[in-house]
Amino acid sequence: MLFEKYADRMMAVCMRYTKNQEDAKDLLQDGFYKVFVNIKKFKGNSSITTWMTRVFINLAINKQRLGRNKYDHLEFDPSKEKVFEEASEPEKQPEPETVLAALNKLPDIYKTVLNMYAIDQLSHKEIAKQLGISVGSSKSRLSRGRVMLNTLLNNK
Amino acid sequence: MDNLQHIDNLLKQASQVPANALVTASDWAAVEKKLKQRKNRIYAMWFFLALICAGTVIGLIVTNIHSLQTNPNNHVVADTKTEVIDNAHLSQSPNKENDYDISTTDEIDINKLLEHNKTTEPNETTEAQISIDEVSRFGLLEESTPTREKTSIKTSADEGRLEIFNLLPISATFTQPNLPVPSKQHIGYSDVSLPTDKSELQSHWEMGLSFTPGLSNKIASVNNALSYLINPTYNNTVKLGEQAAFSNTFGFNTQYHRSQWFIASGLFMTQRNERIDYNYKIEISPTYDNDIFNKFLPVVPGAQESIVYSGSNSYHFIEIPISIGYKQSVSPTFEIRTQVGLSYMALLNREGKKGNFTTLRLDDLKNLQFNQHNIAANIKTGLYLNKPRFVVGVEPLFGININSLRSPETSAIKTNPYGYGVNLTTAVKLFRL
Repeated sequence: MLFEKYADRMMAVCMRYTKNQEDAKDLLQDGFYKVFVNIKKFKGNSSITTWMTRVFINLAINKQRLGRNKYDHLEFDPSKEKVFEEASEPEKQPEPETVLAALNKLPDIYKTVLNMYAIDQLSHKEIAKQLGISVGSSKSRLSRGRVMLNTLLNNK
Repeated sequence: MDNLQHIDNLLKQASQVPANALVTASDWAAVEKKLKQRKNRIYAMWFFLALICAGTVIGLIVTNIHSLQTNPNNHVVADTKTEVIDNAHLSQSPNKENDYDISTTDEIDINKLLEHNKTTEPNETTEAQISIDEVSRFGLLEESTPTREKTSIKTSADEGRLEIFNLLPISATFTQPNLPVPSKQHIGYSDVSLPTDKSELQSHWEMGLSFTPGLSNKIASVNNALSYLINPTYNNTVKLGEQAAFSNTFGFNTQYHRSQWFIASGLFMTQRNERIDYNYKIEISPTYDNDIFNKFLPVVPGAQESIVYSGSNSYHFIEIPISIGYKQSVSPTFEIRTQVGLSYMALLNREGKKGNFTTLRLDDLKNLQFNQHNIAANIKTGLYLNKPRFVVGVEPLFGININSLRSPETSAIKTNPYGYGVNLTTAVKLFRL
C-alpha cells in the first residue's frame, strides 16, 4: 500500500519543512490526502517518490504562505556575515539528527530554500517560481542559510 | 562561499535518516477519514445536481401540462344532456335544495344554476356567458379531464339530473318534464380561460440565478473590553483610510410561492470589499512590559514610521439566506415583491492588509482572527416581470452583518460590514401544485 511504503520517507520530508512534529504530522496527512486525490495526474515521467515529494513540498510551501511572514522581518545582519564566512568545515562530522535540529532553528525563509536546493535538488529557477521570489533572492537566501547553518553547527 | 558546499552534503546525508518511528497508525486513519469525507462530499454534490436536474425536468413537464390546460385556445365546454331538474318541485321543497350529491366535484350551488332556468321562458333556448370563476365554483368543469368525462348533478329526490360535459361550447340543457315539448336551455360558455392573476396565486416553486452588484462598507465600533488597545490616532489614520468598495453576490435562488406569500432561500457566493488608502505616520506607539501592553507614547519625529499603502481588502462568503416575502400585482405582467430575512454567512477567505488598531502597522488579513460563522439581515423590494413560465426581477437591497466580523476576543474594533446594491434575478417557475 502506498501509505505504508512511503510514509516514512514522506515524514522525513515533512519534518524538514515544518517546525515541530505536530505540524509535520498534519502535513503528512494532508500530503497523502492530496496524493490520493491527485494520483491520476501522475504521468510516470518521474519516479513516484519524486512526484510525491514535490506534492509534499508544494503543500508545505502553501501552508507556510498561509501563515507566513513570521520571519519576513528578520533581516540578515551583515556585520556578522564575515565571521560566518570565515567559519570552516567542522573537524568532526555532526550527527544527522544534529544537522536536522540545526536546520530547524533557521528562519523559514532560509530553511525552505536550503531544503529545496540542497536536499530536494530543485534549481534556483524552480525555487523562485515556487516561492514567488526572484532567482537572485533564492541564491542569496541559500548562501545566507548555509552560513547560518554552518555557524550553528560550529557552535554546538 | 564554496567552502560551505559541505553543508549541502551534510543535509543530504541527514535527509536519508528515515522518520519511521514518527509515523503511526492514526496517521493513516486520519488520511482515510479525510478521503471518506471527500467521497461523501462528492456523493452529496452529485445528489444535489441530480436533484436539480430532476426538478428542472419535472418542473418543465408540469408547467407544459399546465400551459396546455390553461391555453386560451382550448375551449372548455359543459353540456347538459338530459335535463331532469324539476323546477317546480325544487322551488316548493326548499328543504331539499341542498340535498344533492355530486359525483366528481365538491359542492354546487344548484340555486345559482336554477336562476338561469327561472329567468328563461319555457320552450326557449337561452345562452348566457358566465365567468370561469362561476364555473369553477359550481364545480362544473373538470379541468384536468382530457376525455369527455361527465359531471353529473343529481338531486336527492331524483327529480332532475344535470350532466355536464367538457365540450365546446359549454351549454346546459334543461328539459322540463311537465311540458309537452321538452324545453332546452343553453348556457353557452365560450372562449374562457384562466386569468393570469388567478394562476399566479397558485402554489409553485421558482428557481433561478441572481446577481447583485453593489457597494459594501462597514460600521466600525469600539469593543469596550479591549478599548485600551486602540491607538489614540487610529481614527485619523487607519479608519480614515478605509472606504466603501464594489461588492457582488452571485448564486442560485429558490422560492416557494403560496398565494401572495413566498419563502426564499438559495446558495450564494458573496464578496465584500473595502478600499484601503493609507498614508500616515506613526506618531504614537505602544510600549510593552514583558510583552504586555503598557501605554502609548509619542514617537520622536525622526523615528516616525510612514505607512503608505493602497489596495483592496476582500472577504469571501458562502451565503445561505432564508427570507419571507409578499408580492402584489401592479399590472397583468408586473408585480412588486418585498422580502426580509436572515442569512448565514460562512467566511471562506479574506485577502489584503489592514492597519493594526494598536501599532498602526500593516497586518495581513490572513493572520488576523475573524469569525468564521456570521449572521446577516437582509431586506429587498423591487419590480418583477411576471410571465407564466418565468420571472425577471430588479430589486434594490440592503444587508448588514448582525455580529462583528472580527473576533471580539482579539479585536478592539467591532466590524459590521454592510452592503447595498441592485439584485438582478431571473427564475423559472416549477412544480405548479
